Amino acid sequence: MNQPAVATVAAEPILAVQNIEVVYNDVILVLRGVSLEVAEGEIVALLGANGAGKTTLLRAVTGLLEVHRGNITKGTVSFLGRRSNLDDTSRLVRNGLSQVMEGRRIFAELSVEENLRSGAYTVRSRQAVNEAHDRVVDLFPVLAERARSTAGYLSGGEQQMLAIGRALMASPKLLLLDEPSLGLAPLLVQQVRYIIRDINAQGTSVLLVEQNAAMALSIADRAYVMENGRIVRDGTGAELLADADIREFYLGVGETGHRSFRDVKTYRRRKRWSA
Amino acid sequence: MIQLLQGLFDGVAMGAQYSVIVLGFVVIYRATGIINFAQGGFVLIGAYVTYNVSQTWGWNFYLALLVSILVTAGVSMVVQRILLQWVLRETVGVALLLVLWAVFYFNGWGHVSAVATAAVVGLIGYGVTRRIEQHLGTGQTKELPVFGSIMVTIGLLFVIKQIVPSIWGFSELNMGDPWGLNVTKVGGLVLSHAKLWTIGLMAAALVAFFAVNRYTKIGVAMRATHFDHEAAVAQGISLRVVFAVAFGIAGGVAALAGTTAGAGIAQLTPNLDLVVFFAFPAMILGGFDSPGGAVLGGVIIGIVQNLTKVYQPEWDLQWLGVGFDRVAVYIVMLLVLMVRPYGLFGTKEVHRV
Repeated sequence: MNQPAVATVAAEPILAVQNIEVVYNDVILVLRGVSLEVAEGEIVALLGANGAGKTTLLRAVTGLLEVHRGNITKGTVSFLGRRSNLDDTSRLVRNGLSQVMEGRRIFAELSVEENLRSGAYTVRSRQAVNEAHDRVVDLFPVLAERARSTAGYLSGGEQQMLAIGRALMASPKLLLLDEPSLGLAPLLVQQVRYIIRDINAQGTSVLLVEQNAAMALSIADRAYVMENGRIVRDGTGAELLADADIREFYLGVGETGHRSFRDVKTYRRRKRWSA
Repeated sequence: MIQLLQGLFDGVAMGAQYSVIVLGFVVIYRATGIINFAQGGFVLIGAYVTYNVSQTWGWNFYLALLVSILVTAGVSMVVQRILLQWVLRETVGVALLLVLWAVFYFNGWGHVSAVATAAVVGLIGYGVTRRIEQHLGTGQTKELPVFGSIMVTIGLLFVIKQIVPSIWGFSELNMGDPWGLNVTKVGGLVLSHAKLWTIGLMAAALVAFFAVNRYTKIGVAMRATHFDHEAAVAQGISLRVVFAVAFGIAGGVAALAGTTAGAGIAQLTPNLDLVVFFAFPAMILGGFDSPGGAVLGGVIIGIVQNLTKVYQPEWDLQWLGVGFDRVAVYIVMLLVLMVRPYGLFGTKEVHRV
């Protein structure tokens, strides 16, 4: 059937995941041979339903699997051309890999300023921290206004800005975003979209994990679709936006206006598209 | 009235020591989620190192105190690294157990051969366990197993309580008396210099801790780790550093408390670590994970203990028995827990690492 097109990656990939298999608790197989690449300067989107393994893939990349008793049992992850399977997160962040975790995960008891400074933990020079701080505040003026207030008292949108700002404090080369639009109003989702573009325009590559496929595909250079721990589709953002199956399963737009019951019955079967 | 004020003053002086010890517990609990029962052992080490440096080597008392703080902090960090990070990995643990067994078993061969044999046996044990682990596919995790770690700290307390007397003996030692029996009288109040110094030193330590916790990078990292351990790791905060700093702080403050508790009229004995039994109710009173609560809890316990001592004879409560002050602190703790089950400042849900 639909053979996944081999994506052409122009530049040297900044992040390359090759054929990894991830197992939780030594028994639960979550990723079954996933490969993915992010080239320098790209925005890459990763789509998929709940439980497809998107967050697990991010954990495998950032070294957070350990916290969840997960293990990479096969395959390799390399960041900046160097194999990074066994690196701890601290080292990866220092080398330029930052992430915005799902559900924001800001330090609610700390002030906004302290949250930002915690993001710059790996940065040694004070000058670099100040520069990063200026850039973040430029991007999110609201964080400067509320610098001294407790982070937990910010609104949801402001907390998301804080989470992104915190990740940018380490001046990353690659930024991983796990569902930045989660729980935000449509207007704020738009804002997040512009922000991701801005960040990318300033030279940071972005790997964007999203359920809001319309938003993600509209800004992504390339995208991958995950299902059941496998990558089932990949292509450029425009290609996938135009794809009939993607439109139906992820954008909620059917080709025909009205679906018959028989179509609904075959939905499950069709969804196992490239298997 | 004078009696009450005097009781309060003495209570605060005593409570300040408890506060500092509790701070050690709280800092470690916040960083790692374990309760370090070896804190009493660190108190003991701190006091004896001060004794050794100031009396045996004849250094200035304050210099000795500084040395003791640094040494105890160092011991605490090393112990943390070795016991809680290595031994809890099965491979190293098995190897060490084998070494211990072999040292005793082959003791008859003379020291050198016994140790050498033990080392060989340990290496074989390490290799075999490593093989089994690889075969089973159980990888190493950096996570601290909470229960195992707490058991290790209990064991460590016993080890320290054996090692300290084997170096310095069981007899009462005089740590020197930097403040003598000098007192300042304000009205009818007798303020002994030793107690004023105790309060001053403890206050300085607490201020230093709160400044570090609030304004420095590592302080922010420690608070972030306490709030959300995984998110802190995601920011690149190294748990190893946070754990080490927490144990270092705990060791340092323990040395400070141990030195003031063992100096002066109080003689230095290997039972000094019993002071921790008053730090426990203080910690529970203040609410496990709050440094501010630690300070308040310590002071409250100190005051309760002293006022009980003062008023017990006066109110004809002798029938409650000698040493009722030690019971009184637990009664106060129970009463507070009835009203506030999480202590005065504790977080409602208890997070575990």
